[in-house]
Amino acid sequence: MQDPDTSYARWLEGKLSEEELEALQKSGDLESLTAIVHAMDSLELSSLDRGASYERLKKKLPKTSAVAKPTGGARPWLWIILAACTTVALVWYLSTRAKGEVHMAQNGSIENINIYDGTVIQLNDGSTVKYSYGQEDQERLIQLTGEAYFNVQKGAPFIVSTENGSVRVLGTQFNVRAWGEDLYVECYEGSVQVTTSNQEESSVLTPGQAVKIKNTEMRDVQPIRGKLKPEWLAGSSRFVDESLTSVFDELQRQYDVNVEFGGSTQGFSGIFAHDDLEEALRGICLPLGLEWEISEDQKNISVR
Amino acid sequence: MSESICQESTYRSLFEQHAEALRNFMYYKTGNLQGAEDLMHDAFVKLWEKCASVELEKAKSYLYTVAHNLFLNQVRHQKVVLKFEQRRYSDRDTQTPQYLLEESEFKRKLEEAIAALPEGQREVFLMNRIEKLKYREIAERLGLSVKAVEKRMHKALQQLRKISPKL
Repeated sequence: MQDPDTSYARWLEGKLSEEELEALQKSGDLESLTAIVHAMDSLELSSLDRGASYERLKKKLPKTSAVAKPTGGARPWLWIILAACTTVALVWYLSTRAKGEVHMAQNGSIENINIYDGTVIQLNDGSTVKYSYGQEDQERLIQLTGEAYFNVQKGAPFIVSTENGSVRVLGTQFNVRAWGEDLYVECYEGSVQVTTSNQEESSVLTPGQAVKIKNTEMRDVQPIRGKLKPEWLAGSSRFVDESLTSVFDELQRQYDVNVEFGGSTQGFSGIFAHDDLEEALRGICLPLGLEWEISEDQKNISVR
Repeated sequence: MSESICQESTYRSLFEQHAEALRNFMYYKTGNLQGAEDLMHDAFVKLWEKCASVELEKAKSYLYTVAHNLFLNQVRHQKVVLKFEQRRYSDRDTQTPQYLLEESEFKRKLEEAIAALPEGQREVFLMNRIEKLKYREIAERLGLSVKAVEKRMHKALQQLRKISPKL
């Protein structure tokens, strides 16, 4: 015999035995219970305006313990605009339930995109992402140019397609860098499958592994050394034997500057931070014996 | 270089992920929307102060624990007043004024009755009806048995049933 102290609760989940259901119908309580349930279905909590709420929170934060984020500290208005844009975009998306949407992070900023299924995409400077979700259970398709970090909710297959190959996952965290002819994928949680654009090669990455595709040629899987997230999310860019052209391209995106550079066959390995242009240039140029000059308005840089 | 909560981009993404759910959770306990947002903010302030010592993976449970403790410390005799948004239905325009009036009167009574429930019952009832969580999920979140959740739910429905309109 089932517990009568829980019968209403089990009725809601359709778990009453036939006898119990019959007894409930006879008691006449069913009508009033149904009315309550229907009324509750028409109620919802007003949603939180996260952008505005975050601004209110910031006023309450103590100033001292702050290790301010470069863009946030130097240009607080940027965060406000970014927050407003993200919120507006999200609200608009939820209200229209459009099938696809394009997001682009302006140079000098990171954009957070919250999709309604709980998936979060963090988009690096100057990168563009377009997503189109089908009906439930159908594929979630993302087209990416540039770099983004994905925290994917479990569900239908999630596919990131880029110029040089695609990444297919179920629910995980990973970083995709797809500039020019390179594709570089790091896996932080779960597992992902990386395939070249000509479909000829494919690798499965597990947490702590990374793989690079250059001109549709897949390199060996490499370990990523002791880190929880890609560096750019913490305000710096890291390179392992990348061409100087890609390094300066990244510098241009991060600092919103113009770099004049004659070109070189040298490769660069190292890190530069996003909050100090002078320091970043020193870190790149000094080890390679290059000279640099920054224009007075801080907008143009020439490297020799 | 590993990621730290002290980094504003990380801190902010934690806010994006958890702020609303945490605010709602506090709301089910307090029944006060502004107060719930304040408690949520206070928990995030604590997280900022402790950003160097809290691991990223533990941030979520840290936030919930702190918010819950802040709630317990708060003066408990505040009167609970619940206010929900009325979802818009397309057939609303075609309904008679009389029906709409009765409906909003019923909604008001329902909110009062939910506010009058003991905290444990209200929490379970709203998590199930608004958050659409299963009893098992509620049990996990509150650290109760499924049976205990079902009992609270049953009692809540027993109370609320009394205000139901005579159709």
